[in-house]
Amino acid sequence: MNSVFTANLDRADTPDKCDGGARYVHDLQVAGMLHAVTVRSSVRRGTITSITVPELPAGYVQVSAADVPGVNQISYFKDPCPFFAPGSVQYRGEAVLLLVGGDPAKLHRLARQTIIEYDEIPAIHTMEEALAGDKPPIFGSDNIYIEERFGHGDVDGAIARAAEVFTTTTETGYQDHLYLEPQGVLACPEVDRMTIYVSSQGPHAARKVVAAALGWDEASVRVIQTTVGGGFGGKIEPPMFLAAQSAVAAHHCGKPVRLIYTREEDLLCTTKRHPSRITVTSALAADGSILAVDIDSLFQGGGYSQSCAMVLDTGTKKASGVYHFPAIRVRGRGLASNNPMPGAFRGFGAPQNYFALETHLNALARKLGREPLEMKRALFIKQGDATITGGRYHFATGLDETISAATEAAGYYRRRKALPAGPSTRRGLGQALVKFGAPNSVDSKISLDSRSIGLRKHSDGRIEILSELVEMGQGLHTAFRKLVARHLDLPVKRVSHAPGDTDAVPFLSITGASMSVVLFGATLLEAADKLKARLDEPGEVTILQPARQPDHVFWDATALRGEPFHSYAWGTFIAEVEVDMITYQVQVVDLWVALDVGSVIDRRLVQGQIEGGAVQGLGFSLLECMPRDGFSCSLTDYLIPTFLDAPQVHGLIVETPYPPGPYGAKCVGEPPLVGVGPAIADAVANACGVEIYQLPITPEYLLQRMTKR
Amino acid sequence: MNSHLISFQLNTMPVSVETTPDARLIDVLREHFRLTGTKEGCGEGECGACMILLDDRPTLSCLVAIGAIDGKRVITIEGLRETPGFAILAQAFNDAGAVQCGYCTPGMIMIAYALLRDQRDPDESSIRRAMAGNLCRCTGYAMIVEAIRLAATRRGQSW
Ligand code: FES
Ligand code: FES
Repeated sequence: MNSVFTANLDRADTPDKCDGGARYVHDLQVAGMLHAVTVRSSVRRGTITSITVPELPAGYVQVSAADVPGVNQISYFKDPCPFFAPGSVQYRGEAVLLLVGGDPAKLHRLARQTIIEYDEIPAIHTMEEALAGDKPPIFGSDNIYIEERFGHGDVDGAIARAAEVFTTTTETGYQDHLYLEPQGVLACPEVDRMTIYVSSQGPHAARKVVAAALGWDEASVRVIQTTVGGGFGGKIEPPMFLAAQSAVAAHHCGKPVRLIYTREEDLLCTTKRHPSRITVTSALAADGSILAVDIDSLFQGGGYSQSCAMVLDTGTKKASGVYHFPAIRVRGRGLASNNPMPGAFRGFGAPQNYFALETHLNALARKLGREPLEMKRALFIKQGDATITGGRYHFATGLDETISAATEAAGYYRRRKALPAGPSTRRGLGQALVKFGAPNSVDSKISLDSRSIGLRKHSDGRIEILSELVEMGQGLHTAFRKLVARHLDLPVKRVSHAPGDTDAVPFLSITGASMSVVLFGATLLEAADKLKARLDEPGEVTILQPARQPDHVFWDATALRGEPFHSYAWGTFIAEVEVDMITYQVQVVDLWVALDVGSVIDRRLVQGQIEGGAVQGLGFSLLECMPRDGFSCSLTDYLIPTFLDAPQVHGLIVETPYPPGPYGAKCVGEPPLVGVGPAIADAVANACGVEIYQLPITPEYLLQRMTKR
Repeated sequence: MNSHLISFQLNTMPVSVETTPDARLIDVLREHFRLTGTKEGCGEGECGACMILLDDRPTLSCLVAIGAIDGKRVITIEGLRETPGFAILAQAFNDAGAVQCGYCTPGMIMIAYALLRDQRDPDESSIRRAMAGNLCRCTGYAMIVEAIRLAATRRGQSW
């Protein structure tokens, strides 16, 4: 253990969260406040021909694209996206207008009575339809939002010369974030100013969007972050839409407007994990060794690209897993469809790609009769190896240690072949290996000077962290307080975190992609270094420290060459499952998650991320089922893990320090989720003797696999 | 529907409210009495975030019409927090790391309080069974189970 941080720190937010005092956006009420309810598209694709709103009582209004004083556009994404349907709709649930007034129940009734008529356009339901080109395209001429290729070596030559070619195709479905707090915003107009209270993962991004929507300068908009009831990537995109819509409504009415989603509309229309279909082909030598791997990765996007490009990009860069193949080609494409809208979600394209690659290798090992971990070991990335984008793995990898930790704790080698079967049950052990790069490198030609984090020493000696990075449950503010206290050698009680308020903290970044500690934690320590020299000065001292890429990172965003990520976490996942051979229900009995997260800042927080992430991954793998071109709008249909589904998660922490990170820390937010799917699938395959190529592994799917044999 | 005067006991105080009898208890608590510690996660009885005690029984306030509680006793987290039992539970939730985003937490504490009132020292599987209607998306549940085990060992005679 190389932790410099021994004791766990009590989170500052726990008491308020326990006694109901914490203020989430839904808890805010201000004088004269109106409510808003969204009227949505009932069709997947079409041109709006008429909108008939019932006669509205006095004090009730409708607000739509025509009322936007600035631009009806969220410009955060690669391709612009309207926040009110601009005369046409691209998915069911797309916001067409808001009804605003005093009584939410009355508004819901009026919304149900509003009639929108459409000229329907044939909707694109599947990735095949998107590629076939038989229907009018949603995007460009080919429905491809983004296409990327990475790799090295002669893959086609290897396939031509191979003794055998082995191919697998895996599919994964939607997953809803299901943060327990539904989306919400409160917009309060003041004289020449608009204040937005929002549950989001980036207050400055919301400010930019609101300013553009109102046609104002950014300084006229203030965004205050409320307590966030869970994010997981799902409070990056949707809050921008809600913020823009409610700001327009508040401006229009001259009164505060609160817009809170019901669970039903949250499930219907907010972003979800991208469904995928990924084909992996390997060229094998006569002795079964892998000469080359070819990966073709398709992600099903929605009617607007939103963050499809970012998700596809990071997922594709991660697709080679923990391996350095002699030759590899990865092709990733994000496609348009008129199905429910996908977006950013914990794992960002990695869960889909790791399910594809690990499942391929596990199936190959079974086919060749080889021990999978030994087969994989021959291909492991070593320090100094090249990345698939021509960069380098600069630092030591902790992969081997995670394998030792997980296999020993699980008794993997000993128990693998000797698990007891019941009269109508079978058991299996499965494994998967992952790496997780974070953060995604940004163009080295772009300076990060406009992004900064700050520290303020107050005259009474208190130190305040000025950062827009959001505490959404993960414990970031606690980790930051510990870093600063340690670096300044002060009791942690003296260090607090400023509230997320764009008037008080500088622009830095969206909170996501597991980059807050590994990248901005280092920036925070640079600020602390500067403050340290001035701690004895009387009065208030404020340091603003710009972010910067670490010295080893070079990324050419035009050529897509260089280091795709700054640092890598490494992990081994082992799942033990029990399969009921009558109902085909899969129960995960134990889950071992060994992660190399670099130096640990707070062990209890890291364990919390591992346990929570692993159980969310279990939901993705077994339970959370939303038809790919259909809808689940209630928690009665869309099941997430409960107390009874969650297995014993054994979090095993390996610490291989990453020198540029704060005290050697890497990332931990996303890695615990990304390897759960392939480990469970491998365990089910070992238990049942059939290969598993789909997540979630529903009883219907398993039955179908078992009877097809 | 016409308004009625509904009277009940709220956190030991007698109260009354003029409302339509089909108004949901959760809305009356949150919007009228401004007791926002009771959370709405789903509004359809599936998540447990809105858990309160109705005549001492753990009850989902999103499923209760206000008309049905005339003359009854309601305890919300704002009432529970005055009790020694709450202090022990909150400390245990803190120590076990059972609170992340916190949106499920008041509901979890309400049901945990009722569970520990009915069972002095529940084992892990009784805890998991009793709490199965309360969802948490952040923690993966084990730390919440641990918190309740911890509270059971520290409770003394507090409730
Ligand atoms: S809000 Fe009542 S159970 Fe979810
Ligand atoms: S702590 Fe976030 S839902 Fe439980």
